[in-house]
Amino acid sequence: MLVIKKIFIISFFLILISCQSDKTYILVEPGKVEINKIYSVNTNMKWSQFQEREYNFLFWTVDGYTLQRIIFFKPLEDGQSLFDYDRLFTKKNEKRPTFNSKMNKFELKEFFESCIIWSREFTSFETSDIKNYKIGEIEGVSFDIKAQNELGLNYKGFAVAGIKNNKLYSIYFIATEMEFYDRYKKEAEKIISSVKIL
Amino acid sequence: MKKIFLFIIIFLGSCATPIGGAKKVEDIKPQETPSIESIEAGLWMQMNNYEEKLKTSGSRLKDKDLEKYLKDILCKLTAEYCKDIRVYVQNIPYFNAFMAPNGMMVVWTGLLLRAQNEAQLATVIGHEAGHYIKRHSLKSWLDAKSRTDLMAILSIGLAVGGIPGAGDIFNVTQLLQAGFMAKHSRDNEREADKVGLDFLVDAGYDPDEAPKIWENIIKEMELGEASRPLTFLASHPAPEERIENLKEQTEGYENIKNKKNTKELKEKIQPHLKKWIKNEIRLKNKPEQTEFVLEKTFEDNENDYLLKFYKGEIYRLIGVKKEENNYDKAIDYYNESIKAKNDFPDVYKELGLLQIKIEKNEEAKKNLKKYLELAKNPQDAAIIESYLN
Repeated sequence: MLVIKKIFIISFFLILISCQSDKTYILVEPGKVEINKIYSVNTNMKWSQFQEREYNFLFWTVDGYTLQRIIFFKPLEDGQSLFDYDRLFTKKNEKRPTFNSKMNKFELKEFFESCIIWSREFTSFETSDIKNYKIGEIEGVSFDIKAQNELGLNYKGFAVAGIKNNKLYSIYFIATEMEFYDRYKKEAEKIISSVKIL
Repeated sequence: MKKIFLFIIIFLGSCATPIGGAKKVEDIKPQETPSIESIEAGLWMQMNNYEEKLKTSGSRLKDKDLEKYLKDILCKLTAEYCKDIRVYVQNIPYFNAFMAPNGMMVVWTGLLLRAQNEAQLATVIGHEAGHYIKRHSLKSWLDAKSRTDLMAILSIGLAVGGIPGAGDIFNVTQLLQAGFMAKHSRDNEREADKVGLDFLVDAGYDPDEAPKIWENIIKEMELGEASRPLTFLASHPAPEERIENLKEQTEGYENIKNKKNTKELKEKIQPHLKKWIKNEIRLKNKPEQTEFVLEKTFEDNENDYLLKFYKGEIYRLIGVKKEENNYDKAIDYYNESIKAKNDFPDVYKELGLLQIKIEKNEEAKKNLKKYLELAKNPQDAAIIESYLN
């Protein structure tokens, strides 16, 4: 009886531990949404939001991260990189691309491209068609993305980036070229064009 | 207790018996495939799986013309084995090439950028073909198994894991994991050098080019971070030793021809050059090292203005670091580029944008206007204009 009681207590604590997680999934309902008190956006449809405490970004998806996502980065300060989290040990590496608030518009694109390559998510990653773009009231840039992962799956997307008070604000949308890019592109454009910096 | 201990020792000893005993491994014959029940067939199967993934991988450079060019070099070197070896290019900016036992040869773009002519490239291709013909992967595998030395097997794993992958911008470690069988003994390397050199001479290439590619690698290592070996060298003998071997072996040939085919190689890599150089700069190696790589890339090239422009790019991207002001160096190189050729638009754009950063606004505007004039309605005109207003 004592053994059963012990097993019960241990199981109870294990369940409690498993419930405690850094990962958070939230259902985003249509309407005006505040993101981490950084951005405010409008969406016409439901999205799943994923956030992990360690990451300096969160993303929205409908069908899953690998199929389509909008990534909202927290503002970056001088010397930081887009993927500065411990799991990849990137923070300690001096060679990682780092943000500099004096970067010009073309260098923002270059920095973004280097960070994505650094993240190793794609084995091929290219940006093109850079344009002036306003993120909220920030004068920034937008540019198109073409990528391919290790399995050879093609992706398309676009990114926006701009500097305010020496901090970099950036958001990007990416989806598989087949099926999902065309399906979500317009909605992603609407969401990103509705962004306001809080 | 003693009996149990003795049993364990005998058991472990029995594991050390080489698979296949002392049987000599013969060269693979043209169009030969291993019998289905052999160890070699297992190695081939693993590599076939890897090759299937590589074919569609985003890291493969999908340039059929370039791959055909490399394959043609291989076929010039060895018509007999031409059908057996497939050549792929992977978009990774390190100096590396490897040969899998099933005939899959992989060449990285960092090697293509560094080879100064076709003869140097043929040296590496011939060498890798030598590994295939001499079945070095199988030999390495049997050798490791025969010793049943856990440390030996581990060291293969560590050699792969230790190659500058972790912490590097390009995911090298993962890509090399399937290619661990490319780690060979010094004797095997020497043998592959000899096979490759025989092919090189028979095909009419200049064998004096063979050691040169290694001489450049040594120089590059000296200029870079010594504690960080280049990928290829992590699993190959020291280049000094290789140069000695190649020079020694070259002395034995007669009727040597001197085909280098510099222009042919440069033409084939030309469409990718800008991207490869960008990736090379992204590695953030010591600037002297990157400058050296670029100098070698443009050595036989009339485009000195491009060399100066890219040197400027190296220093612009480093920016202001500690007490070094690399922007001044970048500007000097951009000006040298303009001196060498005064109608290359990109240099005016980068120079102008950099001058804005250091608040030389009048000069900056002049250069940005010049860019717009030379580039003739460029796609980024609106952005440039936002800096002019």
